[in-house]
Amino acid sequence: MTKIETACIIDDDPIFVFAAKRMMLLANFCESFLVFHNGKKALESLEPLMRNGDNLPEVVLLDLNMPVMDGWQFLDHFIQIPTTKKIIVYIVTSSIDPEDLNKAKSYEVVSNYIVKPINLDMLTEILKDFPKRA
Amino acid sequence: MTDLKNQLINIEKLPESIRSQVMFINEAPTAIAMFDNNMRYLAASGQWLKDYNLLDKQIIGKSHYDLSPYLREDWRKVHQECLMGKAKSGEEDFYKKSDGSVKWFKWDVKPWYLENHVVGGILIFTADITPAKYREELLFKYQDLLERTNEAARIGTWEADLKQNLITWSNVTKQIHEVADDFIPSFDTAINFYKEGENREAILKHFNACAQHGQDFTLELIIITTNGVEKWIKTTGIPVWENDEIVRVYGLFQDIDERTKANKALALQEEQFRQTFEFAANGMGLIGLDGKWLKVNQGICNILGYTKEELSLLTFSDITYQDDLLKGLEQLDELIKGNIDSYQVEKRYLNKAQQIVWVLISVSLVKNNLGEPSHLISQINNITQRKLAQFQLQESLSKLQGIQDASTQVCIIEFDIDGKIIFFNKGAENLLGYAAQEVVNIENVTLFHLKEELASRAATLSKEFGEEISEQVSVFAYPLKGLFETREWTYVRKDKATFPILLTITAIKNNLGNVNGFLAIATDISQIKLAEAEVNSLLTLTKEQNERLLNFAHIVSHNLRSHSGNLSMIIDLIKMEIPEVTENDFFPLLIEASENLKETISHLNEVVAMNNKTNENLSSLNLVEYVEKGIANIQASLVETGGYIFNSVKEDSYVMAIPAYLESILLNVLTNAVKYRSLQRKLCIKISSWTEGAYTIVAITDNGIGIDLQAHGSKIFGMYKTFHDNEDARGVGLFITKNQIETMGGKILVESVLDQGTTFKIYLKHDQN
Repeated sequence: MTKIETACIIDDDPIFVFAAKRMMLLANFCESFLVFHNGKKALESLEPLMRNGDNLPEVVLLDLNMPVMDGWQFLDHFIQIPTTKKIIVYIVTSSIDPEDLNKAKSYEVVSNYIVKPINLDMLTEILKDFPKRA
Repeated sequence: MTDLKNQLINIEKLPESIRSQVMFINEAPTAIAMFDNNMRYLAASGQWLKDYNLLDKQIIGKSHYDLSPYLREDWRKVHQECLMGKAKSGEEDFYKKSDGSVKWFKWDVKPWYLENHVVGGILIFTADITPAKYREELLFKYQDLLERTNEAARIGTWEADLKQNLITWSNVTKQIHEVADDFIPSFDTAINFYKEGENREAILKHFNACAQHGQDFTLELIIITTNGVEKWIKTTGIPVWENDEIVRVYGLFQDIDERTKANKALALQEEQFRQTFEFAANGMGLIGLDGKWLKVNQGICNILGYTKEELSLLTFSDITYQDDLLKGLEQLDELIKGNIDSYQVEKRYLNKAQQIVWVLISVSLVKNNLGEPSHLISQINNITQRKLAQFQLQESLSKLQGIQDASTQVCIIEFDIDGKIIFFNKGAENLLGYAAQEVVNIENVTLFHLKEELASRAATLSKEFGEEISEQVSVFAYPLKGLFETREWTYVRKDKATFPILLTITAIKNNLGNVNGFLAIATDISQIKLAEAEVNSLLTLTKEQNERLLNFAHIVSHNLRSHSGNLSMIIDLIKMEIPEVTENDFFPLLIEASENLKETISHLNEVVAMNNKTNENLSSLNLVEYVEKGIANIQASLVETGGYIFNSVKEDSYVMAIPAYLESILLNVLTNAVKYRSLQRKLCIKISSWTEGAYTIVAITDNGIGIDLQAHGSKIFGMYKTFHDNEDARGVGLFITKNQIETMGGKILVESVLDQGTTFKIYLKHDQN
């Protein structure tokens, strides 16, 4: 099983972030975490990393509803940044709005659309799926 | 002889016979004179002396020629011849007397002889025939006059000589027969002129009766002339008797053709007049100048209800309605004076039942042959029906006027074909501020229209009709095409204030169906417009509120989901990291609370999601297909409970629906039927469908425990209401079903009897195509 080096969580909900990190630990999902509380902060940190090609996360779990810069705005900027390493984006949101789901499908970079809450099984699935996409 | 001639005859010396003769002559009552051979008077009768004016003269011995010196030469010659022994006479002769008158006489001259047979002289007799001659002349004159009169009167004569079998016609008779003057008739030809048949038989019969028995006749018969012309003639026959025998028949023959024809034509005309008079549909009457009826026909009797006898006792004024007595009197006066030939007047009569009868009377005057007024001819037409119709029309018109005047808040304006105002009611005055007399026949339709509106309407119509429509005509364009039109316009008051109106324009057509004007009815819709604006603003407000509500629901559901998600994740983590806590009695309660929260939020989401759907998402779906799908979904439960289903939905039923909704609705209702089945009996579900107007109805009937509609009717489709103690009860189900159906433009009705069963009727729009 290919192990994920770094997973990035972009979510403004501290409880979700706490629970998600614990579950990912339990699932032995990755070695390290990068956590941002909105899209803007995530972009500011990720962009230099992407340009350098250093310590880039392999997987991004992206929330949609966030203050300052929401998930969609983040994606729009994110896909403009040239990078050598492939990053897999999972949208993890509470929204069950079919419009959001359809919109998510229009981004090539988005691998899946996961409706909260998440549990161990879901993480295991992503992990299984990871090598095919990497 | 010679000496004898020259010697005076001495009477004394004459023989006795001669002397007695001389005596006789002197005393003779006739005119007679005796002369000797020298024409000297021997004797003359008193009459002679008187006739020849010789009474006081001594004539004896004197010469005839001396006494009558102007004696005509021819008579002297007669004297001389007679002295030679001849005897001469003249039947008619005359001489002019000294006073110039003519004397007619006849004469006889003879010689007288002496004893020796010697002529002694002559005797001259004359007889005055002047009176006879005068009578003869008179007769001739009369005959001539008669002939001329006959000719002038076209009266001819005829005569039949029965002895010699000769027929004679006078000239006029010949002319009447149209034969030539030299025509000679025979008995047969004369009879054959009469027209064959009764005419010829009549003349034969009467002629024979006259010729054999002496009966006069006068006949009017038809002859056919030589030229083939039929003619009426009058002929008379008179017998002439001689020695107890009829020898001749004569008579007159007269052309009465024209007279007869004229008479017959007159008779015909009189008969025609009588017929017209008697049987005319309208009333006709002859009225004396005193106002009395001389003659009335049945028509008048019918109109007035009196018999002819009753009417003859009444005058004009007896039957005339009091107020109309003076009507027409002036014209009557003018008529009798001869200033007018006739007149007509409408007036009221009273019939026998004292009811008013409207009549139209035409009166004309008849004059006698002296040109004086004789009587009146009156034609009377009953016009009561027409009058009543006229009154009814007047009444309708005044009612209409009343309506127009009474409509103080509705403009009623009539325009002529050119758009000129010809009627302007009270309402128009009130709403537009103009007085009727300011605008009627003066202004036209553009007076109170907004110019910009007319221009824009004219442009639209020009495009629509493909022809130039002027601003003024734009108001009437539709009515002109035979349509009526109702539109909103803006009217401009006299004080320039404007207000919206709803205007209906109708074309007014004449009896030929041609448009000759327009009727405009306008109502002030300012209030309606205000209300409309209010409604619109309310609608906008409601829409905004709805959107806000929706937004709110989104946020709530999203945020709630987030929290609930976190809660279940934390619980999962606790289970994994602190397994001993799960032994605690509180933990399962915590799990249940978390699960309930999750389900509630999920329902909430379904409700919120529905409000975003619209009719545009509807597609035509085969109903049977979806019903069968629903049945398949509950098949397992059916088998388990031993229930059964009758499906009679028609194969070709299509409804307009959202696939997921239709599936969900049918499943929900069917599931309910299973869930709330009666434990007392086997479940039986009947599904049927039919169409009603724009809807196809699916009815799902079960024999379950039923719903107490009295208690729960108003809440049955409410959110989170359950009516049963059933553990599976999900009250939100019917709420969602109802909302889904309504989103698709349908409705759902329920009928239920407790412990007998429930029927849900689902109304869905069907595919109109």
